[in-house]
Amino acid sequence: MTDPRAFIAALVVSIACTAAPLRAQAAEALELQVRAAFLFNLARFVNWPPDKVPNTSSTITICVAGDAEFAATVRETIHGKSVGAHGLTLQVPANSSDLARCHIAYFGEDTGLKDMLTAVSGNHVLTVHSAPAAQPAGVVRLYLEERRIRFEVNTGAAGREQLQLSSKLLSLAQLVNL
Amino acid sequence: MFTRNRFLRQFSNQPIRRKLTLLMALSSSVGLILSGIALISYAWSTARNTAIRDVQSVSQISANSTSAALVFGDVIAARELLSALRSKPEVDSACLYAEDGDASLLFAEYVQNGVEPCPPTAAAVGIHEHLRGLSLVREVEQNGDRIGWLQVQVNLQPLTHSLLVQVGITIAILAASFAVSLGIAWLMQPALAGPILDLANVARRISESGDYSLRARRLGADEVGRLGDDFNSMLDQIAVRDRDIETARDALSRQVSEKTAANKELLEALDRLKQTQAQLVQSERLASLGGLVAGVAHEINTPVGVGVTAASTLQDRALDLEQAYKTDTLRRSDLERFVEVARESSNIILRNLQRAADLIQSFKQVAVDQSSGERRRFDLRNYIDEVLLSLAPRTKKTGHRIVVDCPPDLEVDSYPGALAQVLTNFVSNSLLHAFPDGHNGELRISAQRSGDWIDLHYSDNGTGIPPDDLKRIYDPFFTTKRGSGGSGLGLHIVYNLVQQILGGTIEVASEIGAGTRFTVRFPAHLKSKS
Repeated sequence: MTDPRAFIAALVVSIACTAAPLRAQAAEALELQVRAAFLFNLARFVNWPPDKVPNTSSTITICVAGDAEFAATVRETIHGKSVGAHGLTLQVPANSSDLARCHIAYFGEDTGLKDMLTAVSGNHVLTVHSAPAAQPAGVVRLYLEERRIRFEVNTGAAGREQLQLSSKLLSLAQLVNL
Repeated sequence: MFTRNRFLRQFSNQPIRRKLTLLMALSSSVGLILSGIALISYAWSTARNTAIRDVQSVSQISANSTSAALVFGDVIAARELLSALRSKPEVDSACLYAEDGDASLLFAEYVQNGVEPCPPTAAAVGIHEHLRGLSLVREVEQNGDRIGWLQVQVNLQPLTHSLLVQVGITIAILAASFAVSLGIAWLMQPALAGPILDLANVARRISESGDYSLRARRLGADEVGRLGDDFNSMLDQIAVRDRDIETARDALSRQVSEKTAANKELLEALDRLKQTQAQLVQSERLASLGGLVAGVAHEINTPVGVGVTAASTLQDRALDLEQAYKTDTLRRSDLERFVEVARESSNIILRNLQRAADLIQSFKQVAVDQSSGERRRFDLRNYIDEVLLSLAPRTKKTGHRIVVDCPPDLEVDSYPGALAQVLTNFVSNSLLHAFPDGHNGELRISAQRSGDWIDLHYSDNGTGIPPDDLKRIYDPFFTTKRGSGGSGLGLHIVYNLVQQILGGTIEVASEIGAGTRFTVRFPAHLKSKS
């Protein structure tokens, strides 16, 4: 890995290439890692309201729902890492009250996504999903474009959840307002 | 140190004109050089600091704007963000590096001005200077976490170029001002060096020609002007002194010629005096010889007279006896009386002839010694007696006692004539001066040997010599009795004889009323005259 462009190209190529099952498996794991890193990096560019993150050292909770394998990858990724003075922790939410305590919540499944997003809204949670289309209650949507992972930000949802997303983040994202 | 000394020596050998010109040009140039260096250094450091501040703020902005693109791996966005630097032409390149474990990976780059592409890994954080300019490497942070590095390289060549232009302008100004100050110095130096050179010129002309009437021109009222005034007044003093010296020299040479003439006369007079003195000494010696002869004649006269009387008595008695015998009236008693008279007469005649013979013998000795000046070996005691005997005609009738205290067999090898004359003159002086009232005094001659020397003392118990006269007794022609026969040469002759003939010394001591005492010391065996 000498060149990040080569690395990213290889990643994109391997995601698209499914001819060999073993290589497909490895490419899948790599994609999970990239998504996990995305979740972690997202935490760097978001400011939560003070009642959600009371001080500079309070722990940021990342929740992964409906995808046990991805949850494990995220745990690995954030292990021993921090955002500024904030520690990071991973939770797999069991119910809606667990979800309400999350700072970032990733929903892997499409089924019941809209309900879950609606259930968690109003709790200042940065919701991340990968549905084919933007959701009114979802803040960030991940999607593949030209073999690269891109993301879309729903500025309306972010405003409603009182999340301040960094302009630097927004400059990289596709913006919608639902 | 050596170099500095040599430089100073060379500098001090330069003409004063050149020194002044050089000093003025050098001092103005040094000021310009220093201020030029200071200004250029200040400009360089200011420009460099500004450039550093610029690159710091540029890199700060770029790092901040590209952090999201970096963490989300959006190379295109990162490149676009970096390409905003095209509005900064001094930026050569910007290189964004991602973290890869402990190492760094080139993530995105922006290159302009045709410089080389970014190196594959990031350099150490900080400012790096190179020929073209400088590069700054800083960390890219988000929430205080390091997420990568950014290297921004700026081109300082325009800055360097403008600085070089400044240096060139400074050098040009320097050269121009050097030339101008040389010109000013050249124009000004006559005012400074002129009077000094003029003064030096006058001094050299004076020392070459010896003409002290030359004067330095007065070209100003500054120190050099005062120096010129002092120089001129010094020349005045020298001129006055020269005149004085001239006058004094003339007077001196006149005096010298006068003195020389006088000296010549004096020398001639001295010569004449010496000749006269020698003649007088000679005639005195002849006179003393004459006196001796007169004394001798007188002394011999007595025994010869007695002898004549006795012989004529004897002749008368013999004629009486012959008459009586022829007339046969001769009586026995007549014959007896004649025999007695004949015996007495012959006795008297014999005794007096003997005395006359003795006298003649001793006179002959003294006279021979005095006239011949012969050196010989003699018995001092006997000789003193002989001298006294020759003086007896003059001493006997005065009634003075003459005491001789001299051991017998004191043999002396010297000039007896000189000694005789010394003693004769002592005695003559005593007789002439010491006893004016005619009372009977005592003359004492004593001699003894003291090592190789003879100490001869002569003293009388007469009136003595006054201290003022005592200092002059050896002077020729000094006498207190010129009217009554003193020549003033007696003690002068004594002094010369003791010193020159006997090789000795003479001292005198005298006390008024107690007498005079001479002490003569001379070698018992005179060394041969050289």
